[in-house]
Amino acid sequence: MYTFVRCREPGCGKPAFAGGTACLAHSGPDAEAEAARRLESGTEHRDLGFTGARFEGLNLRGMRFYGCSFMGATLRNVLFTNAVFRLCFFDNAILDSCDFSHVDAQFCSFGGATMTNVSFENSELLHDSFVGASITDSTFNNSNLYDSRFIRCTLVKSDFIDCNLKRVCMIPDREEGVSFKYSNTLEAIRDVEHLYI
Amino acid sequence: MKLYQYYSVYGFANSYLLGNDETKQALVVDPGEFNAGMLGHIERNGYYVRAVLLTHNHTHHTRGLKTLLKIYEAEIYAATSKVFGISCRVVKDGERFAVAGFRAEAFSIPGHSPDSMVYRIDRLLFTGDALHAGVIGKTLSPFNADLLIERLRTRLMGLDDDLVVLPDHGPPSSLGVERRFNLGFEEGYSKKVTAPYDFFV
Repeated sequence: MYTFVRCREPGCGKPAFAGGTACLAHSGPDAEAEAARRLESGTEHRDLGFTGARFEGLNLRGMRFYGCSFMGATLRNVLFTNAVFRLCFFDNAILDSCDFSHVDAQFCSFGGATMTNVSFENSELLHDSFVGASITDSTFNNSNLYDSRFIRCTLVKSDFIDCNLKRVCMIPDREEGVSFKYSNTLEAIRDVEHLYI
Repeated sequence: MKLYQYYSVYGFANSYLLGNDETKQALVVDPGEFNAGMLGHIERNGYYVRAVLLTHNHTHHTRGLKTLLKIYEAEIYAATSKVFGISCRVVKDGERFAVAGFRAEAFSIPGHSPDSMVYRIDRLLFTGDALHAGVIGKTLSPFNADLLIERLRTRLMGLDDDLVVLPDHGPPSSLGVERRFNLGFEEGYSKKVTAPYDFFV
């Protein structure tokens, strides 16, 4: 986990792509397609970086991801249903119409990500960061969000119905058309003063 | 390199185990608790814990230290010379040192506590209570908040965006996201900080 191989091109320094030795820009023209095939064929992925990749229509149901990075990636219509994530990063990614329902994602980061029409329903989302994320038309219904953070994010037309919000830090910059029906909102932290233990 | 994260309900704190698969040495960062789960990971991987890195000397981040030292002969790295009466190897700001087969760099970031250190190993930043996802560490006064913000800006914020931030509380993050969205870097944040204790009562 976390080998942090950098691109072999002198002066580049970007993370190596999909377990290779070069970043996406310095990999061959088929690197993305090859990475997509590799993702779909395996059942468990460890220590792989997909920084800046563009994937569409992948079926990654039930797969297990450990220490993988999708930072700055664009994922459209990707199914992560029933997947398991540990220490995975989606920072600054664009997630459009992706399905994360029934996932078990712990200690992951979606910081600064742009999410549109994404479903996180019926999931275990423990210790996850949504700091600075832009979340629109998405749903977290029936999920356990224990100790997750929604700080300086934008929540628009998104639902948190019947969620566990214990120790969830909910301090969005903008909140519009958001439902917390049946959720334990009194156990959520709504201001920084109460965040610290 | 293998990284494991542990969550302790005692203080709601994170601990980390970083294993080196080449040398079979490992280090533990802030053992708030040392339990069977962590021991299992160490033993299954065939590691020997050579070092403990302490980001600061607060009990809920050091409570597992005595148990760990009963099993492993590990050197403790901290900004203070003694923790629970146990001698530590004192690290200084900017110091680079080899530990458990890794190259580490220490950054002194006081504010949350006078002895707060951040350790960088490869692309990982163990930020302790200096920097969390979305917020900076708790401070007792606006002066300390200003000091913490200034140190974070000058010592950490010039580093790469994709460094992984591993705090002692809450979820992980990346340095680029913290630079853009952390509440602590908002104008006037330190003025909002109020002392949680009234010393004059």
